[in-house]
Amino acid sequence: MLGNDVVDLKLARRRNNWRRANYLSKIFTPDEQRLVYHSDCPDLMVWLIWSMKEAAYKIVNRNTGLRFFDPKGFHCTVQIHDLKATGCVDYRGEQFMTHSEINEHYVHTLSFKTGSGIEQCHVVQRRNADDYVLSFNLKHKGLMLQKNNSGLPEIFIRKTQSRHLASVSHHGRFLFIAYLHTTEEVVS
Amino acid sequence: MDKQEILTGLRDIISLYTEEQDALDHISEQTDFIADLKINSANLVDIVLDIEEKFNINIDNESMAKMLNVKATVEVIEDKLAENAGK
Repeated sequence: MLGNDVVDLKLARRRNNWRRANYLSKIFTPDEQRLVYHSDCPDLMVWLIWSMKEAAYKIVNRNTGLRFFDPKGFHCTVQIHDLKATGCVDYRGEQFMTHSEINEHYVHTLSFKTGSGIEQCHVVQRRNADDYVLSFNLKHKGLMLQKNNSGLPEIFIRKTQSRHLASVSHHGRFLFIAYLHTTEEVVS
Repeated sequence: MDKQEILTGLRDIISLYTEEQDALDHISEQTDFIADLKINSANLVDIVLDIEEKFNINIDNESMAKMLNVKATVEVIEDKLAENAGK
C-alpha cells in the first residue's frame, strides 16, 4: 500500500500562513512544533512534515474508507540527509515509512505500509493540469491510468495485463503519480 | 443564533479559501469542502481558526476531524455554541 503528497512551495508561501496564531498547534504535535522552531529552514520543515502526514493519511483513508481531518493524530519523526528525508508516521499505533524529496520548488513524500517500499515504487512527475489522465495515457503507451470500481486510481500495465495501486497528488504546478509494481499489490 | 445565521457566517469564511464561485453560490449542507469547493487541506486549518474567532468557540481535535463538509461543520458550531450557552 502506498500514498503520496506534493506541496508546491511557491503556492504554499502565497496561500498558507503557518505562522498564524494557533495554526501549528492545531495540526502538529509539540515534538513536531519543536522540529519546526529549531530548524534552519522552518518553512521547509512545516511542509515536509505536512506532506508526510498527508501521504500517510491517504493510506489510512484507502484502507478504512473513512474521510477525516486529524493531522495532529499523525505523529511524525524524520531524518533529513541533504535533499532527501526519511521518516516514520504513527497513526494510532499503525506505522508508515516515508521517503521525501526536497528542492527549492516542492516537497514530495511517498509513504508505505509494511510489505511495500520505495524499491517497488515507480514515480512519474508531470505538469499539473486538468487533463492529466489523458496526457499521462498518451505519453505512457504501455500504461493506463484509470479508476478502479471504488473510484480509486490504479495503473493498468498492458504488457502484463496487471492492475496496480496508484496514488495521485497534485498541488500548484506539480503532479505526481506513484504506483507499485509488486505482484502482491496487484489488484485482482 | 439560528442555522441560517451560522450558514451565512460560514459561507463568508469559506469564500476566502475557494475559487469555485459556482459551488459557493449553490452552497448547501451537502457541499463538501474538498470535493466541491476544492479547498486545499492546509487551508482547512484556517477555516477552523476563522470559525473559532467568528463564533467565539473552541474546536477540539475530535470535532475538527469531522469538518470536511458544510453539514458536519454547522453541527460542530451549533454544539459548541450550545456548550458555551450552558456554561
